[in-house]
Amino acid sequence: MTTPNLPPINVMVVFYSRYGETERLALAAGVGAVQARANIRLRRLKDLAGAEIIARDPRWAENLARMTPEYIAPREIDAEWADVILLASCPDSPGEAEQYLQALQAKPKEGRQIVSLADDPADRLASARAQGRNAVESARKLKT
Amino acid sequence: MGSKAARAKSKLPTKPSAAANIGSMITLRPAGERGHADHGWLNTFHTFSFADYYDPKHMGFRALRVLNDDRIAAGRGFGAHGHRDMEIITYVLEGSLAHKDSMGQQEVLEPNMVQAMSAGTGVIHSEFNGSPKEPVHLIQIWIEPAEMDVAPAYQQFGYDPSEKKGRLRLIAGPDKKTSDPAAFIHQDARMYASVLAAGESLTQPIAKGRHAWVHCATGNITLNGHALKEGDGAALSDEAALEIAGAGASGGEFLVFDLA
Repeated sequence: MTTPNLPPINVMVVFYSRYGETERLALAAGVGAVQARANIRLRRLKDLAGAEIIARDPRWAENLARMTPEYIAPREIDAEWADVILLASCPDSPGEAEQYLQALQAKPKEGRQIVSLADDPADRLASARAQGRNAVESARKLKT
Repeated sequence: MGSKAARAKSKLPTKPSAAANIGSMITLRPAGERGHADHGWLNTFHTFSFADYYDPKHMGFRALRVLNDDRIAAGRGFGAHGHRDMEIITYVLEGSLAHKDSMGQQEVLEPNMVQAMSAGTGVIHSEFNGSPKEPVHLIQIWIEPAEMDVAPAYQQFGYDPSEKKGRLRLIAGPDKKTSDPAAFIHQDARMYASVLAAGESLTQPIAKGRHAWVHCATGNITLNGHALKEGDGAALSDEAALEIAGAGASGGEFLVFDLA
């Protein structure tokens, strides 16, 4: 196998999802980043809502139970590691992603790109994959 | 290295496998010398460099890049992560493994079932112990593909355990049509599994110019006169054949890789 000699790009995909829809978008963006030969980490933002509120919505509670072992929350070392952060916000609750974006902006890292994923209703997964790929390719251009 | 006395001694069936290099054709990889990490939820041994274990002398053998011997605690596992350009084969020895990936696959893997994933242009998947109570013991193999950028693919099949008793049962290879179901991989490499009872033996010729890797998954075997216990491996080059016998009280289960 010949490995292309490309500068390594580290991508953290950060999302907030209640029912799995934004998770799908984030995974598609992650696949796009992998397609562009990036190293990736997938992180889910913690719910701002308390356990009692979540428990009242069985679909939310069920998806949360499924996603909890799959994804840890973004850590400071992940944000340090990343050349690119792809951020996917949940339309039902944009607060989690907004809060995280503010925290990132308060602690900037030189050369790091933060891309808020656009949810394109025409073909959301293909568009997310393309956004993931494009973000890696532009980060790579900056490195070369 | 290869003195007559050393060779004669090495053929004693009771020979311990701790000596790393006996003769020029068979190189042993003793279980205890593998990379090891115990994360509590994951107890893993790396035959070749992997994750935090890096040893430039053990970066793989031919196209065989990774051979991890993992024990994952009940309910735990590897969260979503990405792969590219790798043939990933998972062989469960005990317990069950739940798999989910970006191709939409959601499967549970158990002993006598095989999962092979061609990461190709890129996949994201997660692997969790499928049981809330019992640990899962598995071997995960990564084989470098001959071709890059292939379309990602997932294969899973089961077989009757009798098919690997006393013989080499093909698990994965480059042939699209095989007499027994086997996984297709994008590399000129074949992986076989076998179980030999104590005293039972088999001989498999190695074609000229080919290489072999043998990994003892459980129990005890002898390989061309060398004793292998659980976790031991051996690289064979320029050897005419594999002569493997079940040893110890109840023999052993092992994997054989035929490599270009």
